[in-house]
Amino acid sequence: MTADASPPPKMASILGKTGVVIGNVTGSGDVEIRGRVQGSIELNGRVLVSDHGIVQGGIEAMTITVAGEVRGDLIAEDGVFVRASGQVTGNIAAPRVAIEAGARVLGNLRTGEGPTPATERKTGVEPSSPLSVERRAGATAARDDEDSLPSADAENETSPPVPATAPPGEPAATPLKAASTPVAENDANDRQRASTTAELEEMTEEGAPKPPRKARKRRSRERKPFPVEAVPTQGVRPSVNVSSPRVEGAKTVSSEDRNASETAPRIRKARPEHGAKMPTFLKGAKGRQKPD
Amino acid sequence: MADTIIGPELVIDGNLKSEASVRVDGQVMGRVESTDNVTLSAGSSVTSEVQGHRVVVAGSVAGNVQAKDRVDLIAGSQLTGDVRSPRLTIADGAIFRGKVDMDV
Repeated sequence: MTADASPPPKMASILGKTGVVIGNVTGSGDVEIRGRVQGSIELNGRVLVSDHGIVQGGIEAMTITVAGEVRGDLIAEDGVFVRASGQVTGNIAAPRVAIEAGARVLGNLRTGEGPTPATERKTGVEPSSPLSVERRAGATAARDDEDSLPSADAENETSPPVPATAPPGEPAATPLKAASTPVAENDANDRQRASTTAELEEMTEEGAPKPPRKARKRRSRERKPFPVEAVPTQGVRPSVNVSSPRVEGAKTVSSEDRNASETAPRIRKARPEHGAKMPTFLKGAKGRQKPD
Repeated sequence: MADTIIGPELVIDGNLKSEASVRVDGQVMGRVESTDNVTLSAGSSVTSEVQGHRVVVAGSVAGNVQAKDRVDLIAGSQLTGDVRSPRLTIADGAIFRGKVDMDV
C-alpha cells in the first residue's frame, strides 16, 4: 500500500476527511479514519488511520494500520502496521509490529508472544501499559536467581529498558545504587497494591537482589523485594523526627550528616531511613514516616 | 456514497461533525452535525440533535432535527423531538412526537 493512495474503502465505517468525532468510538467492524477523532477507539475489528487522519487518543483493536497521526497508545491483538507516512506518539503493543521506513514513532514497543495488555484486560489484571508488562516480566526474571533462565516474556522483549516518555531515565543500576528513598516508596505502593498473598510473600523475600530499575510509567504491582539488608552507602538523608521509635533503631546516620542537618534548613519531611528494619508498608501512604 | 459512514455495529460515544455527507447505520450517543446531507439508516440511533442540509431519518432519533432544505421521516422511523426545516415529509408508518417549525 503506497502512502498517498488510500485503498478503495472496503471498510464498514469511514470517517470522512472533514469528519470530526469528539468522543470515543467503540463497537465492531472495520473503521477507516480520514478525519479526526478526539477520543479513544476500542474496536473489535480493523482500524485504518489514513494519511490525513488524526486520532488523539488510544486505539485498541485487532489490527491497526497507521498512515496518519495517532497520539495515543496502540494495542492490537493481531498486529500494528505503521506506514511510511504514519506518525505515532505513544506506546505500541502487539504480537506483530511493522514500522515502515520513514514512519515516525515515539514511544515504547512491545512485540512478540506473551501476555498482551488486551489479554490482561480480559483476565482482570489491571490494564497495564506495555511498559508495565515489560517491567513485570523483567522483575520476575531478575528476582529469580540470576543464573536461571529468564521467563518467556523477558526473552521476547525487544525494547531495552530505556524510557522514552517516562520519568528521568535510569540505567540498569546496581542493586545498592538503586536503594534510594523513592524506591522504598515504590515498594510501599506495590505492597499496597499486591492483591494476592503470593505476591506479598514474594515482596517480603529477604536477601534477593534488587532488579535493575526500569523506567516506569505507572507504579503497578512491581514485585521487588524489600531492601532489608541494604546498607546505605550514599544519599543517606538524616532523619528529622528523632523522637520516633523507628529512627532510634537505625544508627547508620554518620556524624557528618547529622552536623550538616543541624545547619541546613529542614525542608524535607521525614523519610524512612535506609536500613530501617520496619517494613514500610505498615506505615501510611508512600511509606513516609508519620509521628505516632 | 456518503463521505462519512458509521457502520451498523459502531457506537460513537460523543459528537460527530462533518462538512460532507454523513450516513449513520450505527449508534451515535451525541449530536450529528453536517453542512451536507445526513442519512440515518434504519436501525440507527441518534440520541441528540441532528443538523444537516437534508436529513433523512429512517432510524430512531431522540433529539431535535434541523435542516436547511428538507427533512424526511421514512416509514419505520422514530423521532422524539422537534423539527425545524422549510420542508418536511412524514411517511405513513413513521412515529413522530414533537413540534414542527417550518418557518425557517
